[in-house]
Amino acid sequence: MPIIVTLDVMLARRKLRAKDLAAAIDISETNLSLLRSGKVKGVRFETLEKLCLALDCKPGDLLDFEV
Amino acid sequence: MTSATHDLQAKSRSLQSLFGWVFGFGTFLLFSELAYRPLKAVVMAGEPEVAVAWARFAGMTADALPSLALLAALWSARSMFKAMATGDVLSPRGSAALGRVGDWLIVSAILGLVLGPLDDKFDALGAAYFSALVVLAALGLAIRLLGRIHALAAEIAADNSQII
Repeated sequence: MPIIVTLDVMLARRKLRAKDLAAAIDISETNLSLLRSGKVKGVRFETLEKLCLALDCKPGDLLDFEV
Repeated sequence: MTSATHDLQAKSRSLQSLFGWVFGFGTFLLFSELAYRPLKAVVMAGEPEVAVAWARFAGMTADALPSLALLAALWSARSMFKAMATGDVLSPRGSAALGRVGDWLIVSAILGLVLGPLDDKFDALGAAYFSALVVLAALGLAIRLLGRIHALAAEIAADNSQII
């Protein structure tokens, strides 16, 4: 799939651990790990909103597109 | 797990038990009413009568095929409720079992038509028997279609669970 999840990059930039982010946005570490590895079929707007709020970024900072 | 799923799980568990009992009762009834005497005849028959006894038993088995298909439908229904009782209401296993219930009902209706007592004479009883078989086949087809819808719903649910 040409959509790439760049959550890892944002986590590194914000110097946040995945465990802390999962707790902050109230999703399981397993789900966050699946999202980071791109092994999901989609992201809900609700989750995206929580991620953007927690990481102080825009959806475009979390997703990339490569052909 | 939502309360609706919890409720479905509890009801599925009771229906699994009910269908298990009905299957057991049906099997016992079929054996005691149809199979017991011919089987006893096979066991008790002397050398010259064994072939006749076996032939009678085979005939009885053929006559009982529609009932056996109905028992298989009951068992499939039990399997479906067993799958649902685990809490996984929309699972491929449940869909397959639901489809099989329909399949067995159709098989039973076809076998009933081919092997049943319908011959040249088509009296009131024959008409009632034929109508019952048509309803059984239609019900089987409808349940089969529901099984496919269930499978589609299970597929959508599996997809949905992969959306974070």
